[in-house]
Amino acid sequence: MSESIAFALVSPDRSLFDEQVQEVTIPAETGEMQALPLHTPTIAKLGVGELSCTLTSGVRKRVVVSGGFVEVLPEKVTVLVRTAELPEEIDTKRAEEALKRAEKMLLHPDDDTDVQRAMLAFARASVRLKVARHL
Amino acid sequence: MAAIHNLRRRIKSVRNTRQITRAMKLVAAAKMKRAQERVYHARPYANKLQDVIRSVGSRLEIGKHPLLLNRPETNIRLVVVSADRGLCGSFNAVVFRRVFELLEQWQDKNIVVDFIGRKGFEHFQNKVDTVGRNYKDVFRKFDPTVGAGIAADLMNDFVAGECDAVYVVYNEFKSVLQQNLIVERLLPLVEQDFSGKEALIPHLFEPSAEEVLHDLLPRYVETQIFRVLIESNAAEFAARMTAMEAATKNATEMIDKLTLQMNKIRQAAITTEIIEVVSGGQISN
Repeated sequence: MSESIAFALVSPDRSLFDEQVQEVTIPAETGEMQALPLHTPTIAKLGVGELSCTLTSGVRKRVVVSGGFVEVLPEKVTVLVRTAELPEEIDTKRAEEALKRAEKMLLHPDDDTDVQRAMLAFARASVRLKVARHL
Repeated sequence: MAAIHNLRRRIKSVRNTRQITRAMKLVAAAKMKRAQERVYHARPYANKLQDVIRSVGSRLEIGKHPLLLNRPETNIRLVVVSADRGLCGSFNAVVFRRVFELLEQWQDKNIVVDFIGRKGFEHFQNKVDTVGRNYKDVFRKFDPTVGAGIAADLMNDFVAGECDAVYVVYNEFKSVLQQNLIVERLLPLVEQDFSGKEALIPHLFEPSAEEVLHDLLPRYVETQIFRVLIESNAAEFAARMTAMEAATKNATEMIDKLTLQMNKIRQAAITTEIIEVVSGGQISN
């Protein structure tokens, strides 16, 4: 792996990454995809999930992202997300509570439960916890 | 004595004015700092998004999405971004001058003018033939949803064919001391020129081109509008700060001048009095 690919991750209020990496793994809406150098041009919608990249030093970095777009070009990857959280920013306690709440809502749905929203909340909370535990 | 009294009163009033301008300067400086940070934080996202849009535009077939359609520009929508308040130097005036130039330049076209910011609307409401929308209280509070409503209106007009192009006139925040007046075309999104250019490999779209573009392009317009708003807002505070600083300096100069004048008159009065006393004494001698 002598080659590297430029990787930029920005959310509306900040820029989280802007550097050369070995690879990026992206949680696209339709499933996970990995971008290596010389990937064919692709644009995809992002889902909720864990985005990870391997820096040129070999260190793996993880970020929780939800919603947005990614453009992959042979020599660069640009990820525009709606929200992004670094592992050290995640409030584990809050995520656990959210997970329980969503679980309860999904297991015992009543008339005004928005199942779709609960499922999204569940997905968000579980990804947060997963990423936070890697720390 | 009346002259001295008057001068003293004027000095006092200028001093009061200086106090106000100084306070306004400090307020503007504090607000500008916040606005400036907002601009710096929002720029990377807006720039990256623009790169992506350009790259998509250059690889896509013409007419793939309504927001990408390039039509001959006969109906133009002009969005004028000014401040809600005055006392900010030439900030609003440069926008107005440029708008008049544009109207002159586009005489043969149908132009509808939208306003963001109270000053622009007040200035033009009776001077422009076709006043479009007037957005109020846009600069009160900021979150990314602020631009969304305005963007939706403009996109609807464009897609419905009511206008063939949308331009914005606004002040960009270059630095604390410099604002740049910018005229930018917002819609259609990209200049499409395929003549004599080698076709690039088109993108793969996940899940589908329609779905991605349907989300991506409006998102871009919203971000652009939001960027314009925060740029203009930061530039406004910078302009106000500079203007108020100049006003404070002028007030100080004026106070010095008036004080000098007052002292001169007082000296003259004292001198006359002494002469009177001395000459009076001489006569009685």
